[in-house]
Amino acid sequence: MTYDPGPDVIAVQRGPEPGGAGGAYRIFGETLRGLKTTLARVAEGPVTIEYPEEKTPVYPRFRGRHKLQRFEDTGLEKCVGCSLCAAACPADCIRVVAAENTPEHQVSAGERYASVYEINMTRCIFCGYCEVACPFDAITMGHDFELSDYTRSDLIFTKEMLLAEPLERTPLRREGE
Amino acid sequence: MSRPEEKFVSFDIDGREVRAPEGAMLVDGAKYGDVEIPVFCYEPKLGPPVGACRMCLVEIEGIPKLQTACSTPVKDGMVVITKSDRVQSAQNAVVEFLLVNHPLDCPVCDAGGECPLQDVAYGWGPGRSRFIEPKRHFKKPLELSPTVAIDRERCILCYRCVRYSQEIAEDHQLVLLERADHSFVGTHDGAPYVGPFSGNIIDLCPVGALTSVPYRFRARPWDVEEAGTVCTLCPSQCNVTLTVRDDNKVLRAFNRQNDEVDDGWLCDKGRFGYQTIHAADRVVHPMVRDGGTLRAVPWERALSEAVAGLRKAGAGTAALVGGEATNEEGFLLQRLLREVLGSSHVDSRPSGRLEGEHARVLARPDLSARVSDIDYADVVLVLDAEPVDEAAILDLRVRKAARRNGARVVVATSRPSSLDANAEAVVRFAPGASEAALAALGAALTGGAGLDDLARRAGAPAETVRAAASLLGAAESIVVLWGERLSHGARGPQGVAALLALMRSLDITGKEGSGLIEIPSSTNARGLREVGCLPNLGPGLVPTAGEGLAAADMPGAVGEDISALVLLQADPLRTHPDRQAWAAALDRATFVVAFTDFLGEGVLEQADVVFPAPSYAEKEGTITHPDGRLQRLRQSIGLVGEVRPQWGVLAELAAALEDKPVELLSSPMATEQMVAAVPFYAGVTLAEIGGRGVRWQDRDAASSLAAAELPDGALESPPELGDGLRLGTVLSLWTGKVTEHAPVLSFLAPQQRAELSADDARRLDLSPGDVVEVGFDGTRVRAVAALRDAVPPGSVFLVEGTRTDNATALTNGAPRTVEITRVPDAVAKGTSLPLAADAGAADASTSVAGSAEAPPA
Amino acid sequence: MPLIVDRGADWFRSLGTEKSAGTKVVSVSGNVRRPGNYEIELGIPVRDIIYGLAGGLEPGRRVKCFFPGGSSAPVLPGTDENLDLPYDFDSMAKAGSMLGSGAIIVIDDAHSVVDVALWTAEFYRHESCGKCSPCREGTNWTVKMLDRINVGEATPMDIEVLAQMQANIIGNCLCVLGDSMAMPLGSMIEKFRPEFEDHMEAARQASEAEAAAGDLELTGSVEGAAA
Repeated sequence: MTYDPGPDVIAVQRGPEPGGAGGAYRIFGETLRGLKTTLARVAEGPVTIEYPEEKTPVYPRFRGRHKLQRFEDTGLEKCVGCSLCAAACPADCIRVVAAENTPEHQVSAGERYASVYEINMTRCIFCGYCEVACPFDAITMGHDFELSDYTRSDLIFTKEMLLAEPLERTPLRREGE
Repeated sequence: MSRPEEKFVSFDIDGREVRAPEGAMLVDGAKYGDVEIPVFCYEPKLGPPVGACRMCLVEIEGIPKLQTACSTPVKDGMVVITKSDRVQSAQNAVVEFLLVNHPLDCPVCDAGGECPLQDVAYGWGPGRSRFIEPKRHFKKPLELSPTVAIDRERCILCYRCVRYSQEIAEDHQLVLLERADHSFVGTHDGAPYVGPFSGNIIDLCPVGALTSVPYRFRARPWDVEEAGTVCTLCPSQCNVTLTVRDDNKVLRAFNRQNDEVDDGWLCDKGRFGYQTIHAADRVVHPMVRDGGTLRAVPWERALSEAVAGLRKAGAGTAALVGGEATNEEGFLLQRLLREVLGSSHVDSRPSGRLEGEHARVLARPDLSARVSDIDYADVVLVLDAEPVDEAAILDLRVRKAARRNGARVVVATSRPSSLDANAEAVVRFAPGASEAALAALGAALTGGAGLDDLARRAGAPAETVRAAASLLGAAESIVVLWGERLSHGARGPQGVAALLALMRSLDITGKEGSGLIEIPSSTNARGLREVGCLPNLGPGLVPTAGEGLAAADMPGAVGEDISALVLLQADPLRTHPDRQAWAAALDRATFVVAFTDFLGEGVLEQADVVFPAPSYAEKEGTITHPDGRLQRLRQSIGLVGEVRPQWGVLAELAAALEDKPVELLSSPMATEQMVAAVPFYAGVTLAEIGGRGVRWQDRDAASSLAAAELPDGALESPPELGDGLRLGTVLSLWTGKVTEHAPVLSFLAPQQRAELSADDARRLDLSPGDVVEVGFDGTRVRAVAALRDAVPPGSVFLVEGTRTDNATALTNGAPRTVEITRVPDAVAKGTSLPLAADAGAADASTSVAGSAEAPPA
Repeated sequence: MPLIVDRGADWFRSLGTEKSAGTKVVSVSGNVRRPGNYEIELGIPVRDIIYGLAGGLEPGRRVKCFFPGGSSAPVLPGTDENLDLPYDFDSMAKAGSMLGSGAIIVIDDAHSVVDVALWTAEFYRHESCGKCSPCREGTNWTVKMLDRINVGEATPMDIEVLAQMQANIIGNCLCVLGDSMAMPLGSMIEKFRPEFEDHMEAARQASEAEAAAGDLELTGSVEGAAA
C-alpha cells in the first residue's frame, strides 16, 4: 500500500529548464565568472614581500629587541637593578643581580645599579610587560626582530649586549602607509 | 606568675560573631575571625602596645571616637566595625599622612616586595597621594653598625626599633632624637649600635629604613625561595628561615618564630653567620696528607685511606664529637666505634666525666623545664653560665620574664653577668668553686649548717648566699639555667652531685613549671649525649659494657691505648682544656681523621685525612635542644663543592671496615635507626617532629628512660680555695668560625683580654689597655688588661676559644691560680685576621670586641 | 579663690548663667587696644569683652574673626551675631567653637586670614611631639601648603585638599594637639574660603609678574635638614 501524503504535498517550483544555450552558459559561463575574481588578483600582481631584500615596515610601537637606556647628558645607565621587569615578566626570562654604586664606580644615578642583567631571548615572548613595569624607562623595546642564532647560550643577552646601540635594519612604517 | 589559663570571650566584628582569648588585643582577636586590621607600630613581641601610628583605627559601638585596635583588649559583647566609610576614610587618611614624607624609593629599597608599608598602602590606602611639596631629607644611607644600615628618610617613626632596644634587648642604645617631623632614630652619641641582638631591628622595621648590610641589594623576594631549618651555631638552636637563591646560595637568615624555642628573636651570630657557608676558604674537597701537606683528592682515595688507617688502629681509635653534629651523625659514629672498631673512647663533652646515674637523673622529665617555662617562672636561677654568651636567645627570655611577668632573677656565677642588673640576688663565687657554691646554697636552704665554711670555700660572702637561698626557698616555681661547666673538670661529678642535691632541697620535682635547663658548651650536646656519644653511656643513656676514656683522659693515652683520633666537627685545640696536651696528642697520634668545614690549626698540621663537613644549611637530620625538644634540620641548599652528607660518609666507612655493602641509603633511614636505638625516642617520626619540634619528655615513650633517683647522701667536702689570682674563663659568643670566616662579623672577633678588678690592677700596677702575660710556670698567654668594677678581687677571666692566645692553654680541668705581669713596650694592636673576602680589621681598643656586655651598670 | 571660700559657693553660682556658673579670668590678646587678663562674669556678650574691657580695636578697624578659647578653638567671624553671643560654654559650643582656655584672640581686618592660619599651623607643627602620623605629618603638610599658597603656587583645588586634610586629622590622633590645629584651620577655611582664594590668586599674579620681570627667585617650602 503506498503512502498517501495527502495535503502535505508541496509542489516544488523549479526554474525554467533552459535549453542547450542555457546549459552551455551554466557550465562554461559561470566558470568564467568565477575565474574573473581569480584573474583580477593575477592582474593585481604578487603581494609577497621578498624577505630579506624587502622587509615589512614595522609600526613605531613594535616590540622587538630590548634596549637598556642611558641618560643622554651624563651617560649613566638608567637601570637601577630594581628587578621589577623580572617580576613582571610572564616568561621569567630576565635575571637581575643588583649591586651598590660606589663613588669610584658609579654606574647609575643613585644608590644601586644592575651588575648582572640578562634576558634569555629563547624564552622571551616579546610582550613588553618589562617595558611597562620599568619605573625609570630604562628598558625599552626596539624594532629589531632578526635575532636568530645557532646556539641557545648565545641567545642569553647580557647587559653589555642590551646596552649597545641596536642595528637599525628594520624599516619603520611611514605616515600614511 | 604562673602560666595563665586561656579563657575565650565572644565579640562581634563586622557582623560576625568571633571567639578570641580574653585579654588579646583587638588586632589579634580579629584574626580569629579572619579579619585583618592593618598595623605598623603594633608588635606583640615587643610587649605593651603604643597606639602611635593610628593605622589600626576601628569603630567600636558605644565609643564616639575611633579606637586603636592594637591597644583595645577584646571584651565580651564588644561590637566592632572595621569596614565602614568612617573607618575607611581614617585608614586612607593615615596612609596618606605616612606617605607624605616617605621617599619614592621602592625600586631601590631592599624592602620592596616584602614591605608592610607597600602592602598596607595598597590594601588600605587612598590610591594616590596629594602631597606635592618637597619632603624632608636626611643623609642616607648610613651605617648604624657594620651589620645594619639606616635610611632615615624612609622611617615612618613607628618606634619598634627604639622599643626593642629599650625593652627587649635592654641595651638602651637606640633613641628617638628631635621632635615632630624632624624626628629620627639614632644612638645618643652617634656611635654604632653594637650588641648581640642588633639584627632583630631589621626584621622589626616595617619599611626599608633598617636593612641588613650583607643582604643589601642581593635579591628581590621573587628571585628567592625560603627554607626553614634550625641554626646550629649555638645551643639556643633557634628556628631560622634561610633565604636561598638559585637553590645553591644562602643569602640571609632570619627568624622562624617558635615561641617554645626562640620567642621570635635571632641573635646576630645566627643572623649573619650564614656567610660561613659560602666562605672562600671553606673545605669542600676531601683531602689527604701527601708529603707533609694536605692535598685535595677524590673521595675514593680519601675513603680508602681513612678505612686503612682506622682498620689498623682498631680498638685504639678515639673520637671527639663536636656540637654541630646531628643526632644521626653522632649515633653512627659511636656505632662505628663501638660495634665495628670495638672502642668505647668517644666523647662529646670537652671536659669532665658524667656519671651514668647523674645523666639519667638530669634527663628525667620531671626535673626538666621547657624554655617557655622561663616566661612564667617565679624565680629564674642562673648557675655558672652567662646566657648572653652561651645560649644568647635565653638571655632575652630571662629579661622578658623579669620585665613583663615579674620573675625574680638570681644569678650565681663567678664572672659578673649582664643579668646582674636584672637580678634580685647575686652570688659571686670564685672561679672553679661552683661545687662549693652549690653546696653552700643547699646548706642555706636546709638550715644553714656548715654554711659559713662552704661559703668560704666558695669564695662568696655568706650573706649573699643566704639572700639567694631565701628567695629560692620561698619561690613557687623555679627554672634553673645551669651551665655545663659545672660538670667539667676533675671534680665534675661532684659538681653535678651538688647541683642535684640543691634540686632536692628545692623540691623542684614537686613544683609546677619548674626544672632544669642546661646551657651546654656546644649546640647539640644533649642530643649527642642521648644517642650515646659518651665513653660510659650508649644510646638511651644505657651503660655500656666497657667504659672508654673521657676527653680529658684521651691526650694522655695517645701513644698507648689510643693511636687514632676521629674528630667529627670538633677542634680540641679551641674548645678543650689543656691545649698543649691536645696539641701533643694530635702530633703523637698515628692517624687523625677530621670531618671539618674549616682547617683549624690542629687539623691543618696533624690531620691525615680531612673530610669536608656540610654546614647546617646542607644537613638533613635531627638535633635535640637542651630542654629536650627534638628539632629537624632540613637541607636548604645543594651540597657545596664535593661535600657529601656526613651520615653517608660514616655509613660508608662502617661498611668498608666490615667488608659489607652500604645499607644506609638515606637520611630518614639513619633517623629511623637512631630512633630505634634510643628507647625514650621510640616511635618519633620526622613528620611528628615537623617544623616546630617535639619534646621527647611529652611523649609516652619517655617512660622508657631508666628510672634514676636524686642522690640522697651527704656531699663531699669541696676543696679549699687556692691563694692568688684564680683563673676563670669566658665562652664568648663571638669566638669561633663566625668571626673568622663571615666577613660582616669580623669586626667582632675577640682578642684575648684579661678581666681584672680595679684592686688587683692597682696592686699589680696595671692600667687598662696594657698588654700582659697571664700564666704560671712556663705557660703564658698574652692578653690585653681590662678593668671591670664588678669583678671581685682575686679573680681574673680570660676568653676561651680565641684563635691565638687561647685561655685553654692555661686550663686543665682543675682550679688554677695564675700570675699576671705586664709586658713592657708592647702596644695592643688591632686584630687583622686574614679573611677570604674583606680584610676587616677590628679595633682592639673598643670594648665591643669581645663578649657581649651590657652597658656598665 | 579666697572670695569663694569667704562668700560661699552659692554666691559664686549666682553670678554667670545657669549652666556656666561663676566668673572666669579671660586673657584678651590680638589686635585690641588693651590686651590683658580680665575677670568676667560668664554670660556677658563677647562685644562687651572686646570693645568694653579690652578697649576695642584700633580706629577704623573691624573684627575680622576671633578665637574664643585659645588658638585651638575654631574661629568665629566677627559678625554682629557672633559678637553678641554670650560668652559661656554652651553658647560658644553651639556657635561651633569652644570656650576652651578662655583666651580670646582678636584678629582685625588689617590681617589676612591666611597669615593667621600660617602662624597657627607653624606653632602646632613646632609643638607636635611626632608620635602619631596624622599630627606629625598633617601639621607639616599644612604649613607647606600654606607656604605654597603664599608664594602663589597653589590652585583652588589645593584649598579643598587642605580642608579635607584637616578633617582627616580630627579624631584620628593620639592626643588633641592635632585636633587643636585642625579645628581652627578647618574653621578658617570654611568661613573665609573666598579670602583664601583671593589671597592665592593675588600671590599667583604677583609671582607671575616677578617671573616675567626676570626676577625669578625660587622661594617657598624647601627644607633640607641633614641628620
